[in-house]
Amino acid sequence: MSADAFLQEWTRITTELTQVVETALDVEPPGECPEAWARWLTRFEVPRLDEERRSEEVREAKQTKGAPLREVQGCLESLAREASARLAPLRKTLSAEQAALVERSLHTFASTAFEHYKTKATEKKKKMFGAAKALANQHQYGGFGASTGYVLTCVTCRAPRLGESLTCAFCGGELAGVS
Amino acid sequence: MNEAEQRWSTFLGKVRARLGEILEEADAGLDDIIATEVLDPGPMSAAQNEVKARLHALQEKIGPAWTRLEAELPSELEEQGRALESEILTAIEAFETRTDKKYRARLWELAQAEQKDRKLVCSKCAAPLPEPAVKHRVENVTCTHCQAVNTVRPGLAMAMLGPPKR
Repeated sequence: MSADAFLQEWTRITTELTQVVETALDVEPPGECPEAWARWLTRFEVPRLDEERRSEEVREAKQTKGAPLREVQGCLESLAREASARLAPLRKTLSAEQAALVERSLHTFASTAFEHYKTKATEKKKKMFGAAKALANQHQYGGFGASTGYVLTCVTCRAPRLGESLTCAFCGGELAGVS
Repeated sequence: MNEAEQRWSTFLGKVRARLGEILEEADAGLDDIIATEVLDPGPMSAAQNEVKARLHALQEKIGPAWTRLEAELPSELEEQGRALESEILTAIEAFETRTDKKYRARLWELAQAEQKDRKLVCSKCAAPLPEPAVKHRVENVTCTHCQAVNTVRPGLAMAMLGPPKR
């Protein structure tokens, strides 16, 4: 058993942790229990809250998205326990310093992830029109409001345009100047 | 009502509530944007697209939710999901019509202000020029004093408004 095996196991655990949090955050409307989330509950043997309880807890926690906090916490704690058990025999392949770091991480593992989840699940939804309002306040075309007129003039004799034709009525020159 | 039926009913209720929330936020937000800026069509388009994306995303949740519960539900309940999908699509159309109407009304106000403010004079002899009959596009107006043909540009709001809708 080598440090590589430890690293492999550690990667597997952190990947799973990320997936749990992401799946929980994807639950919308908040408090729903889509299949993807139900699979994690089964995987970690966390009891699923009944419909009424789910809605109530989500409302009480002021969640704007995600699975109920209690279910997520259950999954994360279960994962942390499992991680601790799975890594225990591999820790001897690490230096004392590394082993201490892993020990600390395993202790804070679930609570840190849960706090992160709680923050994300309760953060207010971004206003729908943030970008549109910022753009509107730039008033990009404010300077184009004035409507004006101009007269085409002959490039040769400077005479004004006097009819539909774009040829000068006086000298036959081209009407391409402006006055 | 069995557990699956209750879940289906709760789900549809939540989707309908969310539809109401989105539309409420959308109407208020669009009013604000229209009052702030209409000469730049970018903000209005961005806002409309955002609302439509959210409503379509909401609508797209219904089918998969039915698929998950289908085995446990009587088939006639599927119609409730279909009806809600149609309700969302109708709401999208109504929202677009409603905002386009408000947008044009605001452009019309600005176009009227442009017309009121502009002093149309011949750029050759400075005599007052008559208003062109067609106001939303570039028109040639002949000065009644010096006969010079003035090319008159419409104001931006009037140009954007386009021809009157019949």
